[in-house]
Amino acid sequence: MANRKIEDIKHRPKWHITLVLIIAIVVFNFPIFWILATSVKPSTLITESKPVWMFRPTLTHYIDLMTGSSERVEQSTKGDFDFFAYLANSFIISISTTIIAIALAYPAAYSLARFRTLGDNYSFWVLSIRMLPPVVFLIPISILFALYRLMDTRIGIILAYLTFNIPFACWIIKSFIEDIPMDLEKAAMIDGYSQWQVMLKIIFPLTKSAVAAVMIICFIFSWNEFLFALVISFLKSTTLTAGAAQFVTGYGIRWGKISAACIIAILPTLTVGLVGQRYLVRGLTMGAVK
Amino acid sequence: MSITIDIEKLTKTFGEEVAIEDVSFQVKPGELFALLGPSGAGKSTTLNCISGIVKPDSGDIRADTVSVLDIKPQYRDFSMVFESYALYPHLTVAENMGFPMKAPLRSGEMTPEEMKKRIQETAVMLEIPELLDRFPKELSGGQKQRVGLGRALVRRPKLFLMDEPIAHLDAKLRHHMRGELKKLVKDLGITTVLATPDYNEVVAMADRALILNNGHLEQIGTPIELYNNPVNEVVANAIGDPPINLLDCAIEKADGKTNLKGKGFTVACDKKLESVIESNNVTEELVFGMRPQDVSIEKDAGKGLIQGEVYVFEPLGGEAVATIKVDEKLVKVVCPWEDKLSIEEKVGLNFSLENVHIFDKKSGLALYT
Amino acid sequence: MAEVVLDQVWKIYGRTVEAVKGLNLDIKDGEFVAILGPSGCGKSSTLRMIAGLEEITRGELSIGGKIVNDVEPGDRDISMVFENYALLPHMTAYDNVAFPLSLRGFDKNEIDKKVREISKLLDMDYMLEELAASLGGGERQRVGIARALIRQSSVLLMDEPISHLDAALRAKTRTELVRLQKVLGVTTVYVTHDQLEALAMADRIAVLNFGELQQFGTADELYYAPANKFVADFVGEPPMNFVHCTLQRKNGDIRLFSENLAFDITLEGEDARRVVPSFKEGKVWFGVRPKDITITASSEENYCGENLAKSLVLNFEPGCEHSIIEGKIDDNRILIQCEPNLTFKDDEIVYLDVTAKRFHLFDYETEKSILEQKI
Repeated sequence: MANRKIEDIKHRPKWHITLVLIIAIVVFNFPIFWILATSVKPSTLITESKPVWMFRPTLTHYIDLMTGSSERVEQSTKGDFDFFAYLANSFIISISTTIIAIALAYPAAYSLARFRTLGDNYSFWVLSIRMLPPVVFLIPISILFALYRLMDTRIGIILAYLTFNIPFACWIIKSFIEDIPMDLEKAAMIDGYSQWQVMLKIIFPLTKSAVAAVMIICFIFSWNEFLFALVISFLKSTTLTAGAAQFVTGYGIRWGKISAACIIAILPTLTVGLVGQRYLVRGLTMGAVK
Repeated sequence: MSITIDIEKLTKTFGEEVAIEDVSFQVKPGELFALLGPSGAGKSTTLNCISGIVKPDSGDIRADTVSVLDIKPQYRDFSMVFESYALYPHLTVAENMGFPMKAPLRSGEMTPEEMKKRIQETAVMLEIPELLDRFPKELSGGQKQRVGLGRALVRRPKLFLMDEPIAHLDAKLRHHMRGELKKLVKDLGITTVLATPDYNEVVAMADRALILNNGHLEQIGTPIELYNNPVNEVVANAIGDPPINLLDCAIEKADGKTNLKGKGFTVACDKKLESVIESNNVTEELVFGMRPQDVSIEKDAGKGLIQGEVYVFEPLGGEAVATIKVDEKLVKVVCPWEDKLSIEEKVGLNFSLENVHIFDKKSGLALYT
Repeated sequence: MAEVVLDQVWKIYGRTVEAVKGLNLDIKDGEFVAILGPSGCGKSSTLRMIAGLEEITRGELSIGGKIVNDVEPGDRDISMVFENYALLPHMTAYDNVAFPLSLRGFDKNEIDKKVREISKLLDMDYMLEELAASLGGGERQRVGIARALIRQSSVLLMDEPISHLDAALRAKTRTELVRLQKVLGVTTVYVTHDQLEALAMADRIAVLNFGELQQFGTADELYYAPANKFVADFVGEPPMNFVHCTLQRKNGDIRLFSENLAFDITLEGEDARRVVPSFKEGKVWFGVRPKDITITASSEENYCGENLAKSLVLNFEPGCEHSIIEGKIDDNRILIQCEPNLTFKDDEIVYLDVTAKRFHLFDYETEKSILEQKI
């Protein structure tokens, strides 16, 4: 066997990799493409048994979505589809969850990373909440919220989302903080800063990419979340995702409208993801490698 | 503005491990005081207690007779240089140096112009004014170390602590920085405590030093005192490279003469040594110590006070270190490179009893130096 | 026979990075050769080429008289000790040492015999049953060496094996390694960046810089007769001093003077004849080691002496065995080693005799030595 060295491997032709990448891109993006196609397809063509590829695109679904008109025949008990209200709710809830999660998780992560708060195993305890399937919390939360009149409130949904986002944020930020040498904090304290000031002025700037990554993920999670939003919201606090469920009516599924709603729903997260992908990679991988 | 530092019976335990125990010393105003010991001896712990990062289990730390034990580190007005430099990576050199002055508890003490001027002055003093806009990751080791120094000195603190500051610099730079650091600290007149495992640094820089071993204080004195009159084996071993040779021996009285007899050697005592042995009523086992620099090789084995066989000969450029096997023990001797000894060559060792150190085997204490 | 010969060996990474350039080394059977140089000089690449872990781009490598460029590492009859020991952490020290033999299918009893032998030689009996992961640095290193020695191969390669030990352990292990090699007589190639290690241990030393061989000789040759400024600067602690000056010939004598004449000496007779005739006049580096400088006088008044160099005292560093003065001759920073009981003040002027003992001259442009040396 001839000596195969590292240099040989480098010169492998690239077309293998390109082909694999193309296949991956097609496979992953097909559903989105399909939904996009469906959202501009006239309703009659959507339900054809044989998929129709060539058609004249229409914006009817989008218009109906935003104006809440037509298809009035089947009003679900949830009332009119108020597009802009739902959109606003989604934004408010997602952004609030993200900000509150970071604000609470950051000091907690710092405390867990630097101090032996409540023993060495406590952090694992806290973080393991994230590992449970969310559906487990559904009934308990429903009961609690009903008791405290949190049903159909934005606050309620935010609280529910925080249950998952805070441990997750804590976990990522904690491992990032652990990578920062303690000498920096010692130096800052001797220089004249209190523990809080050290956390804000030294540690926080050094964990910016982790914080950015966490914020992106919290936002995307909250925005996309469906189950809890559906159960908790009713009228006033409905998010875009929950609202789209309205189109599953007793008389049939309004594919066109659902697709249009989906496409609109994807846009903010897509933007956030594209813009923040740099931070995402950096933020997640640096924390994971120990 | 230099202060006196009094450390009294400082003790700190981490879990089951005793880091330092009953360490006491005083640093006079403007003095450069060194803590010498191997890694793990407790030097960093001592410095961390003094700076306030770590709270000692017992003992007191006083600055000008006022206890600082309950004062948080940020209020003590001390500053510290770290082995790892601990520069803030997200700030420029100028911002790093300005950081201590911008601390909230000091707001109002200096105007921004005064701060800028002070940073500039300090940078010039440390020969780094051109680096002020760079970031730490763009700097070399020596430059980072100077920025760390600048940040520590910019406030003109009451006490200056240094934890192995020049450990990671190359040899040439280390020589240079030893001189620079000493001059800097003396010019500014700041009381300084330096922790290092390198006795050369202690000898070059310190006014007085403390030998620390396994958390215990062994001896305090000037570097010369520690070298010439070590109070026990540990201290004798701490200063000097190659370290002092220590051989077990016992007193033997024969033919009216007193001898020191060990495995493979017998050395006759002179009058001085005899009287020391008599007066101390020594009958116990002893340890006989000779520094490699105080021993010479005698190619004619018979002419030496001790005979042995060459184990290894290591030329080190200009001089050499020969390891001679005396019975089972290995004795290191510094000799001229021209000697060119070969393995298993029989040689003799000569030395003067003036330079010999005798220690009691059990307690390790010096009886004669 | 196990001589190792490198004949015009090149290592080029990618197509442009020349790590080793035309290296010629002949290592005799049983010799201890150190490859010394700063990081990035090509020493590790060279060792790895000898081991077979790197392909030789150009040139020939022979071990024991046979060209082995295309021979697998396992078939070259070599063993290697790595910088990070490369032990199998979940196996005991015994198993680690036995590994090369058990891999080759040796008889269990024979393996045991050999392991016990090596263990005795390296004083490892007490730790044979310990897991490699639980051993300290010095112990792991001994396991690494034992594993390398057990096959009794013709050539032993070591890649900075003691650089990760603390100072005291490093000195002790260095002594042991020197003795071990002398006793076993195995051809050894030892890579290090520490000139002290190289001087103490090797029969001959190859100094590399930027992939090029600077000098290949004994410790004495490198220390007392360095072939160029790089070797002169790299070998020796404290490092050699260099004064930038101009060389002028006048009636068989040679005058060396610096820009502002703080350094102005004349070499006559024997000394003058040692300067190679091919170098007529021009800029040179005058090299002298700190301990070869004699302080003749120190005073604040102008001292009119012959053939002396004048230095400003920048800094005085007291020491136990000797003290060091940091000084300046015109713009050249120098170090002077002197007796421990002398003291000097800052800004004092000292007068130095720099030619009483050994000194060196290097061409300013080529940096090659232009002075004949005797060792």
